[in-house]
Amino acid sequence: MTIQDTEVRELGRLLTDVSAEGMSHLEEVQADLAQTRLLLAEAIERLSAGFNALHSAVAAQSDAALALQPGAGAADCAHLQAAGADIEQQLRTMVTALQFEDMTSQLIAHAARRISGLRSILADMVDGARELAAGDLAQMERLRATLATQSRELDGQLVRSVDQHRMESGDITLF
Amino acid sequence: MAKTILAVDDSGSLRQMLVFTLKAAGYQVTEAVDGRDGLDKAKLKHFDLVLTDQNMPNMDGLTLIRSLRALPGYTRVPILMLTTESSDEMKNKGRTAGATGWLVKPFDPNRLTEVVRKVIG
Repeated sequence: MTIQDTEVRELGRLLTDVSAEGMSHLEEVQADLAQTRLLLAEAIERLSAGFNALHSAVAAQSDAALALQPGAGAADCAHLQAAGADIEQQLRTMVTALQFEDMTSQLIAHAARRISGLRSILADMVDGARELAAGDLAQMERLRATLATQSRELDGQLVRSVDQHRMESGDITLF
Repeated sequence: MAKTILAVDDSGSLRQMLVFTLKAAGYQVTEAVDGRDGLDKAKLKHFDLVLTDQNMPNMDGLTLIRSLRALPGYTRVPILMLTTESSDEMKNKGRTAGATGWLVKPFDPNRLTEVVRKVIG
């Protein structure tokens, strides 16, 4: 079956439009990811500041309670100690939780790099598809080869470094 | 006198959590924002332990470890990698570079303190 010249031109125009539309949508996704990263960083900065302030306040309160201790009964002292231990445990849990911003940021950066690479592939596709639309049938095979090569290169450059499944804490290996 | 730890990570929040945890355990902590900053600080002052991330701008953790091991004062200093990377391949690279241990994020404060005590007391 032979492809008519008009069909080649139509296919070229279609590919150009699809690639251009894809690039435009990816630009929006990139902008959203950048904004998500900013908001996450802002949130974690405020949470970290709150965490430190809370810890200082709790330490000051604990010192004040200890100063009052001579006048307190044994039950009150035990209650204070239990409350202190509970706060320490909650703080440790928060220390682990606050680290998720680091991993999330890395994943967002990874996604942003892949989108950037995909936009670059689509930009080349637009150029090739324009030549196809001009009637150059040989461009079809070149486009296919370029797409395959660029996709492989992109995969090679993007090794995912965040693959956490255990949420409480990661493995520890001493050599 | 308190033992000294150099904490190297490009994430500010992660460094804050490290400082909080290690200071509470009685250690003195100095922060560095990437491998190059860590290497500069290690050249200026001797630390009893280096705790470093892997993926950082300017200089990554493995390069930092190799650079530190080439310095006379750091041939035997414990260096712990604290990273999101968890593959055996990366751990082997770390061991070859001269890391003392490999800790995968997120860290639990109690477990981190236990490991630090184990390697530097």
